Amino acid sequence: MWCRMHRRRISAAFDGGGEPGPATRRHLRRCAACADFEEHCRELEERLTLSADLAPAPRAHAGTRAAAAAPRRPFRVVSPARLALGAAAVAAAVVLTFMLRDLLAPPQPTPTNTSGLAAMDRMASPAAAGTAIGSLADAQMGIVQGELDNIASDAADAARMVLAYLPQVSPGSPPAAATRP
Amino acid sequence: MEELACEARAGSSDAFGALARRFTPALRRYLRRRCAGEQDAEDLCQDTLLRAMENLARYDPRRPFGAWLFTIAARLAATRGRRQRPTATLDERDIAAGGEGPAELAAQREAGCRLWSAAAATLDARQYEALWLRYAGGLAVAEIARRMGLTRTHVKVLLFRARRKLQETR
Repeated sequence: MWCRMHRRRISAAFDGGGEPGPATRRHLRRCAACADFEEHCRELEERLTLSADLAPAPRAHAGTRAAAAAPRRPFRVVSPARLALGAAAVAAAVVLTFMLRDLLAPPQPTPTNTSGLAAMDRMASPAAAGTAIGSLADAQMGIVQGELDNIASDAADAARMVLAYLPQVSPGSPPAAATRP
Repeated sequence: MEELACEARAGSSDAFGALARRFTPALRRYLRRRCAGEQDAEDLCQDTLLRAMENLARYDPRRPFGAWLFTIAARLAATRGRRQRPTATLDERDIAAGGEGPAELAAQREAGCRLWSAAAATLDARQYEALWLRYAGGLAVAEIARRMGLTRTHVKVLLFRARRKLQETR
């Protein structure tokens, strides 16, 4: 029983190029039949390698044919023409993107209050121009004021939301769990 | 394998390194039997590889590289055996004299040819193919497995059975 295992190891050692392990070495010292098998393997290796050019070629079995027929392409070779075509397509796409961006972009928002500017254009005297500048400044201040109101309102909403998440603590009672509004 | 040899012949040291790694264990085993000691076998193995590298231009890619390398090794072993003969002890001389001259080499090749014929007649197609790829193709087990579409273990089993069968028919 052990002989078969050791012979497998001897054969594998000839295939792997290494030496059989110490257990097999010990076995070989005791077992003449296995030592004979090792000697046979060695002879086989020498004789078959030396006369390898005289060996009749095998008929490839189905697995070999399939493995040989399977396409093995580690990388794709791209022809220069195809490469140039690809580069041209990418360049065209970039140019088209820039052209269409201007055409399809939404119209820019115009100033909402141009009455001051229009009035300033119509004014001939510096005093009238000063009045127009004043009305323009008032209009701008109105816009800024509106924005500040919006920010304040958002901040108040945020604060209310944070407070709603905090535990409601009342004197003499354990802290209640936070509840979502 | 022969492709690697062609690359080595064209000047690729990587290809020659791969060939040397592939054949060194088998060469060492072969030379151990033909040399007086382990150190001698190791020296001769190095000499064989060196000689092969120097003479790669003479290698014929139609022949298996392993056969060419082993022929160099056999001739070097014979030459060394003849040189050592006057100073060697009786036992060493017996071993060294076993080295091949041209006649012995021819006899070994003829024996090998008979062995190949016996293998072709006795083994089943897959066992023979694995044996052929191993020794005539000089391929490692992993490479044989890839070519045959089998696992490495399966290839090792095929080779083991082939060797056992050839021993039985000896």
